[in-house]
Amino acid sequence: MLLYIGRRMIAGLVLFVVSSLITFLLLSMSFDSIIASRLGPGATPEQIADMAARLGMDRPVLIQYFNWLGNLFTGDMGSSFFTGADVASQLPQRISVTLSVVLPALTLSAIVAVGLGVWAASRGGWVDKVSQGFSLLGNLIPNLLVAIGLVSIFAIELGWLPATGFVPIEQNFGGWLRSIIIPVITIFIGGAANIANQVRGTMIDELRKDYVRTLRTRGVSPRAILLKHALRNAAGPAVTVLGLTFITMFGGALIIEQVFALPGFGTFAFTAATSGDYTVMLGVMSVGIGLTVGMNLLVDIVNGWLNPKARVY
Amino acid sequence: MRTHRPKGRLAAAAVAVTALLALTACGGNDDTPAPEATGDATGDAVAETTSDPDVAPGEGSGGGGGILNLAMNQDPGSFNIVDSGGNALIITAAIYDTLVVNGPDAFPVPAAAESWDFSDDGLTLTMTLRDDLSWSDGAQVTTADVVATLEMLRTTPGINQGHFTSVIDTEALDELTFQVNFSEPDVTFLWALANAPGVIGRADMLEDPNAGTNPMGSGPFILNADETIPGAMFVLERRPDHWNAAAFDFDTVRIHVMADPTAAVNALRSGQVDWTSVSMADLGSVVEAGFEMTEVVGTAQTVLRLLDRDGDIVPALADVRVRQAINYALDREGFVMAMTGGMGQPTNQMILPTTDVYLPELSDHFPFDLDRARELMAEAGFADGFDVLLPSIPWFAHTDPLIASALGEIGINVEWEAIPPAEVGTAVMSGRFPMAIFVEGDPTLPTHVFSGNYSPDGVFNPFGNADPVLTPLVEEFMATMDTAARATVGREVNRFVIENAWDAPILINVQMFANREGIVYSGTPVEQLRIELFSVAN
Repeated sequence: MLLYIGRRMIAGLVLFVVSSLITFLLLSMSFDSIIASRLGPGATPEQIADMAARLGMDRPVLIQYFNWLGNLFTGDMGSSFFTGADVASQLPQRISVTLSVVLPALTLSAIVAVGLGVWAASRGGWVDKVSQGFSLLGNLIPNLLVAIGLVSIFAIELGWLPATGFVPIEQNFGGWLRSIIIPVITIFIGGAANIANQVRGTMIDELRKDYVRTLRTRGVSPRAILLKHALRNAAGPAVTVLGLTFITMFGGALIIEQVFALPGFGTFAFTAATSGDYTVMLGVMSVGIGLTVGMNLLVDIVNGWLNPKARVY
Repeated sequence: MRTHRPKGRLAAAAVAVTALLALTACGGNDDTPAPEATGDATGDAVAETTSDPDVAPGEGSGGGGGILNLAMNQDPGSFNIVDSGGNALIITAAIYDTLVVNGPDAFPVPAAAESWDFSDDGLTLTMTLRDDLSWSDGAQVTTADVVATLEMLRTTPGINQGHFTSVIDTEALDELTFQVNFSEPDVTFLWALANAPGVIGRADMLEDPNAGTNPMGSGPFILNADETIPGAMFVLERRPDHWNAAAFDFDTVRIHVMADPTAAVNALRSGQVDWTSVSMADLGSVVEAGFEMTEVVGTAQTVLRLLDRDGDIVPALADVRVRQAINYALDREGFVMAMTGGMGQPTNQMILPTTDVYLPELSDHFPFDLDRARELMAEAGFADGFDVLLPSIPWFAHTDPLIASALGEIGINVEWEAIPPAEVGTAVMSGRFPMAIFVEGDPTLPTHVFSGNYSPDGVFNPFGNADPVLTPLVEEFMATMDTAARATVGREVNRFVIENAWDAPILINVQMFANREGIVYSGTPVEQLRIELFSVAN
């Protein structure tokens, strides 16, 4: 298992380096324009060159990249090109906002989806139809529409919850909870629909397999067959979908953050991209790639733990 | 077992409902005293907004007090003096004093500088500071601070350096008087001092690395860094000891960053903010909800810039008849509806009708007339048209087909090059594009419009176009210190650029703002985002 984990970690690291290199190279094509934007429309080529030299952006791109990468591994992501604020110290605040929404939504999605999927697969009939209907609707209805509906009802009409904004959990727990309820419900629906569909499908496959029939003939209780045997075997694909859902939720948080004016990771990335704050963009990119690679790694490890056969890959 | 389950579920449901009720009871629409009545600004950023519609912001404070919540559609970015501009000015100009401020008629009026005087030749500007300016730590502001700030802005590359191109240096004459020396007269400089180039930084803190996020100034407000949530909400606290404290009705101003206009409107409708700008898409719902509306005409102008007037890239544009044909081909009334949904007014001039250089007799100089446009194209020898490459700017992308269609009617075939948001300004002014849809942000200020767009070295004249008639006129306009005489020259400049179709103005932008009852908002085409524009209704 340790060898398997080590292998996956090395693969993840290589993937991180390659992805970040490609992103850095693409970004480096705009370095001059970014400096020109910062200096304003009257900037002369000499001023642009001078600032590029001061920032070390006149060096060969590969040297700049490895310099950035070296600093990254020491926790130094540089300072914002515009505000001068330390990027590494800003990112945790922004990530915590996004995780405040994504993690509860993911947890809720996992609980509801596994329950619904297992129930639908084992009972069939109307329960299965309800489950499929939920999955279909959850996938069809855009998050934005759900958000608008929830805000209209619970924030504007009833005034129970805030329409926008975020309260840090350490500042006020009640305020934090109130500020995330609508965003969490908004992204929960799509996530749960996705996972429920996957769990239902794999559970139906598992329940049709020979070993289930054998267990039944041996008098093993239906509950034990369902929860101890079939669910464990079906968990692999579900965990994979869960990991992908996390990445989708995290990556897609921008829209939700814009709709609810949350100062999260997506908003941070968007603001940096539109203003040309390249140091922030690089920091955001490294976290984004790191999270994606890390989540895939975690999924691989869990799958390897659940199913030893997966470790050979 | 079975008989117990429903009870368990019921109990769980009861707990959940109780929790939800308890949670929602913490909300803004309860009967607890509104924090704005006491000016208490601690705690929950959402729950303590002015969410009770029955409590007007500032109420009970006797003209001073309360909390004002504003929605702003862009992260202000840096508060560093060198980099500050645009939307950040609402915060920068609150934390720092500016030497002058824009008056309602767009002419600067005294602020930190109580008086000033230009020499007859326009080469020196002498300003006198008020004697009661103080930093937020109580120390006196002196001309040494002003000189250090202006010198830093003059010598440091940044978005504000362009305002100092004609400044030789700045010198302190005494504790309260200083002098700016110019290489040539610059009538735009005084207006610049009402904005970011006119803020006063503290001499010994100009290099402070925290200035971008947590600045210290002499302005009427201080930034409450503890309550500020970067990227989401900036909290400003009024300084009671500021020389102009009485001009501000609110003790605390919270500026909420809401990039999505609908989110800002939702925040207004749910009572989280007291004021926001309103897009056309949300206008109906806001009006229906009964909010007070303010229409500000002329916040900017949308213009099809005809940049390549010498025909360096597209030779056809050197022919005045082609540029005139483009002007005739624009259905400005149609563009107002298509581009703004009716929130605009057609125009063919680069400056507003309220300015002293506007020419009403030329307001219909280029009526929509495709036949005349095609005639001019044929006369110029371009009956079959020509090809142009235009930048596709993200916030105008929806209008690209309209522009392409209008120009296509007279045979001009448009190709588009997508420009990333961060590179729009530099790309359009790079000299790669012969034309571009662009916003003229200062249509109230002919000096800015004419010098920036029509001086050979103007920052918005990327091809450096000059003309034996126009260029001397612009130079004379910029060197004339007397307002009435300058207006006379300005009208000549305006007449020339209209008749010779140096650009193709399309529409005057109109911006709508909505606020809660109990607030008075006094935005103008010159200023829309300053805290002093908000007051408590009597």
